[in-house]
Amino acid sequence: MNDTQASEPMLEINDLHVRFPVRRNMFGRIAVENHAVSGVDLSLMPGETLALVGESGCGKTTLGRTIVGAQKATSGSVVYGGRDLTKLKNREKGPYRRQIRMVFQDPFSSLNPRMTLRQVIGDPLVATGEASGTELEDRIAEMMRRVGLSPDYMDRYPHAFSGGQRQRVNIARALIVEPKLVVADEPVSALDVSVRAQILNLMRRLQEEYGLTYLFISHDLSVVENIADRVAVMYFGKIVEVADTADLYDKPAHPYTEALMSAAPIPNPAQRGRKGRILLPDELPDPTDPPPGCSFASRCGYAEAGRCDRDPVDLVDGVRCVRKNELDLQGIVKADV
Amino acid sequence: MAQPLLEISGLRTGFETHDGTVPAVDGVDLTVHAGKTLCVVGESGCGKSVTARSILRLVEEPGRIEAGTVTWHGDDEPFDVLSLDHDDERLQKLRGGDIGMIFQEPAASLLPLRSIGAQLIETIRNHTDLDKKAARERAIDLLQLVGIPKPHERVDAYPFQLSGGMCQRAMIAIALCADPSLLIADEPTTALDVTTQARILDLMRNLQERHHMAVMFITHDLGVVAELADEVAVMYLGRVVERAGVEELFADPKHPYTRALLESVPVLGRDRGRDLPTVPGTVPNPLHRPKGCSFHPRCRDAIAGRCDIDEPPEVVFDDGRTAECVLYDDREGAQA
Repeated sequence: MNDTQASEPMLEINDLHVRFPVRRNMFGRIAVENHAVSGVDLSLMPGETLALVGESGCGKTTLGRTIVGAQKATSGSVVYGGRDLTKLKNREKGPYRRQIRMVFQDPFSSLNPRMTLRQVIGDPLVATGEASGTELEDRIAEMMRRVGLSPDYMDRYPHAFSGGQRQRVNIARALIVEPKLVVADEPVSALDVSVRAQILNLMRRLQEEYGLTYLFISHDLSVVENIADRVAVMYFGKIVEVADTADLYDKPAHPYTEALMSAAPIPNPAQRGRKGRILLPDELPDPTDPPPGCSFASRCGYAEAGRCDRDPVDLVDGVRCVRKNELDLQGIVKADV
Repeated sequence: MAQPLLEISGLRTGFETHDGTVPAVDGVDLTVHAGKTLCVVGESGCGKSVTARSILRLVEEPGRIEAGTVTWHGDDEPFDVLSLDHDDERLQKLRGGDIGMIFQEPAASLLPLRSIGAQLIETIRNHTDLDKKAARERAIDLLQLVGIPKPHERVDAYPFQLSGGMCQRAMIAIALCADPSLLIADEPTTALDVTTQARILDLMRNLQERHHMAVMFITHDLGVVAELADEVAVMYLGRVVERAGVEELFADPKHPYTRALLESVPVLGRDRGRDLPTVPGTVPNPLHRPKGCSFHPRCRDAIAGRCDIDEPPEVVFDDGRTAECVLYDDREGAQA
């Protein structure tokens, strides 16, 4: 085991389920449940950026929150450093809260408006009593410099800052305790287009400096292609495909991945209308009563009735599709700019 | 060139705040041509939405249209929308009649307590002399047209019973009630998933072709612009900084802001794993607009002593495209 350490996953998710009660019956028992995450297997390798893509409601945020311990799992395990994080007692959680950190989407609502940057960024150190006085001050200043903020702003309040600067504050707050894994939930989606590139480049640089592993949750395919080493595509609570970024974009193996790639707008008017765009029908299955077979079958252009909608299908070689060996799917149309 | 349908000239719309008036739209000139799609692109706070709302005088307090004209050429006799009285019937005829409008959050723009059908029928009856029954038939036809499955049933559905994409289709149906000659769409796909966005864009393209309707499409997404636009206006801090045909704009952006914007957005298949060129700094607070060219603090090509002092000239190029930038002042092929 010791000699293969580098290729050991740092985090392993096994058959993870998260269900939310929707309605209870007259005895208080759960009558209807929403399966937000329904049987996810995924592993993260040290130092990589794994992107989790999918559309709203597919369960990607719930999965991220479960990994950082902000959401209780219904069943399954999240193994990190030899421990199942879903089974930790509260008093055991401390060290894991430092090693696995989260950066949220909305830089406006995720910062306490009554705390100065010094308080926001230094809070994790103060809370654990790890640093105080000049040491605390020095570490906050150093962290601010690393994320491209001037330490002169330490005593200002978040309202004085733009979205991009606030996201830098969020990143500083996440990194000050030197975590191993950062779960970033749509970290650039709420930012102006001209500021996104700054934050993506910053995240890439910090990853190198600190040897970080990222789980990067996003719905934006071009952002994901830019930052991720590997991509997991999530649909209806399940991973339907996981592959290296280049493979997934150039040669998708799941029809849903193909549809996503085809839907992404190409910023080149000369290529308008050149590709046959796959237009998915809207018929989504009911999340409280998922179908027995493939949950994408009702919208899939390749689905075979009586087969795809009936037979349960597992993630085999990174693809969850019974027809995966029969299909020849199209990747992205590259913009020639 | 197609006929101008709507001409905005010198539009200024400001918002009164504790700290002074924010000039959200600060002297905008735009023309929408009949049957064409004009995309107005820019980042948050550039004034693109306020421009759109000013056209139909839907700017809410503390906002105020301070100057400018909005000339509607749709009727025999062109008139200035901004100079009409509030109860002028020409204004009522424009709103939801000749000009349809759709917004970013479909679920928030539909009335939650009235069925889709009731909202459609009301608009139809406001703008036509159809009776209730005929209006309901037309409502069902419209739902069918925008691709809502089972329109006979869905006509009685309430907004909460429909998905985001379906609500946006219903919004489009309402906007199309009176066969508008212009559809103003303010970020209509931003809140939608990418597969839903693809279908809505496809629908808008089809409708436009079939009804020969002009579209003014407000967005921050350059990919959507490339998919949809005939002409593009790029806005920054309340001003149109560049105007061009869509192919010219993407092939040869003139204004340094447009250029920086196009470079900094990751493009599928091009930017795998590489550092992206960035636009330095952030969009300034419109209350503290930089002197001279408002982009100069972030501009790579800024000329000290000029860009930070003088307002940039609007340079008109031979093919009619424009850029507000000193770089092209007195250059060949341009007349300042």
